[in-house]
Amino acid sequence: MIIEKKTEGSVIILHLSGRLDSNTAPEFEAAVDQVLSETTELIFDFADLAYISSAGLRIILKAHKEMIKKGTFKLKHVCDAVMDVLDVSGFADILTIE
Amino acid sequence: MNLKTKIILDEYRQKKPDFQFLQTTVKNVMGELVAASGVDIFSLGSRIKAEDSLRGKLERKGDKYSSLADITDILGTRIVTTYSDGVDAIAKLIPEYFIVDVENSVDKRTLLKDDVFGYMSVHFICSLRPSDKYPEEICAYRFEIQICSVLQHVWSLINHDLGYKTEFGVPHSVRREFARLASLVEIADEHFIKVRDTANEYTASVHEKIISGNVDGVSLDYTTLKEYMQHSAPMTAYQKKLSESLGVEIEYVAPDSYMIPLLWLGKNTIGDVQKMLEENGDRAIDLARTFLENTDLDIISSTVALRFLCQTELLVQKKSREEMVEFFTLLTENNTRAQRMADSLLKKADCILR
Repeated sequence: MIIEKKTEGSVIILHLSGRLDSNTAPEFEAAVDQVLSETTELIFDFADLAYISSAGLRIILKAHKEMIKKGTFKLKHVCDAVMDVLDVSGFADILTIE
Repeated sequence: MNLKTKIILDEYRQKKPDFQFLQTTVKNVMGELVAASGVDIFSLGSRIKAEDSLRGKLERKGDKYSSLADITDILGTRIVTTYSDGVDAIAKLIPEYFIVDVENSVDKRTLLKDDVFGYMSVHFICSLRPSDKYPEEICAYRFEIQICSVLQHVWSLINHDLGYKTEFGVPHSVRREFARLASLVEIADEHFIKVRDTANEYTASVHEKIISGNVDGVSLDYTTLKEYMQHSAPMTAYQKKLSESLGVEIEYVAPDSYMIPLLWLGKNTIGDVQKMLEENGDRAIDLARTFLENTDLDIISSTVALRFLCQTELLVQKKSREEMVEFFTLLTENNTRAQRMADSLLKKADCILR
């Protein structure tokens, strides 16, 4: 998995490529922990994310819980396979997905 | 600039790092105080008086001060509560966390005459408690804590912006307008408390009905649905069953996005939702299993219960694909996703309706 961090004004975008599973989740979690204190507008760009597991869902949920207190949080460019996981797990119900 | 002003300004520059330390420390203690109070807070702010502002103050009122220690608002803090009754709740706790200079602290609410309206904040002049092991020299500095409601805060900001500090330059008509607005703020503050209390009473009465299981006549709204999902015995038991059947952990999330879709399905009361649970609960678990069997998910949201109950209902009511798309569009606000969800559901119809 490759994580790229981009800053556009006050917005921080984390772009993920590859698979977000229990092997790669710790690296992503560390990147998310770092940006959570830096911004009030956070975007996860999943354009090149092919797979997400429960470990990845837990990180999204953690980011959602933190950001709901202080700003905005969005998922962008979610592919069908990842969208299916978000839908079936029910977490799509509370996330802003564009 | 006279000599006394110059001496005080020199002292200010020299002691500024101390005030920065004091600012951080006070902010932390105020955070603890606010958490202990349970009061709904809009903001908690602080500032160190700028040198220009201090110079202006010394030039205007220099006779009052002989040293920096005489000026009590070099560090100024403000706790802004969402509701005006939070002001008293916070004020009551201040003496437990700080040493209060009672003589110089002011409750402006009690100073205003009966027929005068203006800024209604409470001002404390405080210092840190040496018993809390702060450096002695830091405990010697005094600072100001203002407490006000968010509406009073807004009034004060605009009042300040439009000339509070240069009263002589503000026409009588403007000052009168501010007084009239202050009276409106006072009335609005009281009404917001009433609105909050009414909403809380409603939630409490709903909670009682949900707990007692008397849900037939309870209208479906955001409050009743949330209470039902969190506190109804049949629904929490169902979520537990879902969790055990699927071998997943359930994380509570707000069910707000299901309000409109449930109404679309004709569920106008919590009783209707409960009936749907009683009639379709087991089939909804079977449906959930077919969707989850090819995943390795070990966590799902609490709304999954509603999700699969509604989807089972769509199949049982023999809704057409177009109707399903309409339902899912209400849920997702995205027609493309809605079409995919409808198609996925139709593929599973046989498992549920056989």
